[in-house]
Amino acid sequence: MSLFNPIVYLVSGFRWSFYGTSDVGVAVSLAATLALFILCLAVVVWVFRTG
Amino acid sequence: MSAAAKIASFNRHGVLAIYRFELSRFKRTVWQSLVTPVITTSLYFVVFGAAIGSRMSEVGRRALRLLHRAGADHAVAVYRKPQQCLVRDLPAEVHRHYYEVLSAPVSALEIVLAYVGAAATKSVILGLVILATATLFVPMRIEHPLWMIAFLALTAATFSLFGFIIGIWAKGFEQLAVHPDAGHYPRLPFWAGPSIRSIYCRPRGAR
Repeated sequence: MSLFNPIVYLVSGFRWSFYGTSDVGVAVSLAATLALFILCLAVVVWVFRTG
Repeated sequence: MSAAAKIASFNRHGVLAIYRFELSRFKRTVWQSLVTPVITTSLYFVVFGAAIGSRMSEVGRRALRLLHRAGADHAVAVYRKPQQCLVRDLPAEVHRHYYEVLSAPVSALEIVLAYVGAAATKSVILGLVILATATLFVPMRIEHPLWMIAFLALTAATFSLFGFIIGIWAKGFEQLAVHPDAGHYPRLPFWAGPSIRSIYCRPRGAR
């Protein structure tokens, strides 16, 4: 159930950088973090375009 | 407008002015911005250590408290990042003085760059301070320091953008509480991810 929480992927990637091991693969963590960043960026762009 | 013209018209003085103003606000509210999270982290380690103590289990050959240190650092930073960005936005919206920024000769990109950049910078500083605090309680060794900085910076930027969105969307302090109340606190039980099972689940073979 925890895997439905996007923050798990962020924390997991962060943990991997500390210990070299993590619950989720680092590539998946990085992809999830980048996806969340792009999503937030897209919303900000949409907000400024639509007013 | 061509790309070269856009670069030439980039108002770096405006961006730097907003960025510096936001960082100076961080200094003015040092108790709220810096001291409170440090005390919270210290209490977390003291209380958590006392509560679990010798029952601290091993997860993947790592003591659970070590796994929680990264989680603590990350979670505190994640929680504070949107707060730092939206706390700036909301009073401006409530008091209707957004026109100061909107009437200034800065584009939307420059506004986002300045506010989100400042919030992300503050969050990275806070994250590193929390990390330094945590090392007082548990030993530290970072396997991939550059990746750690990269993940911290990326998370800081992401959640600062998230805070910026909430800051624009919120019409009052009730909506401001959506993030901590509906987003952060319910997340805490899942905070440690799958490793939290080791606390709540019965060890194999136990009755």
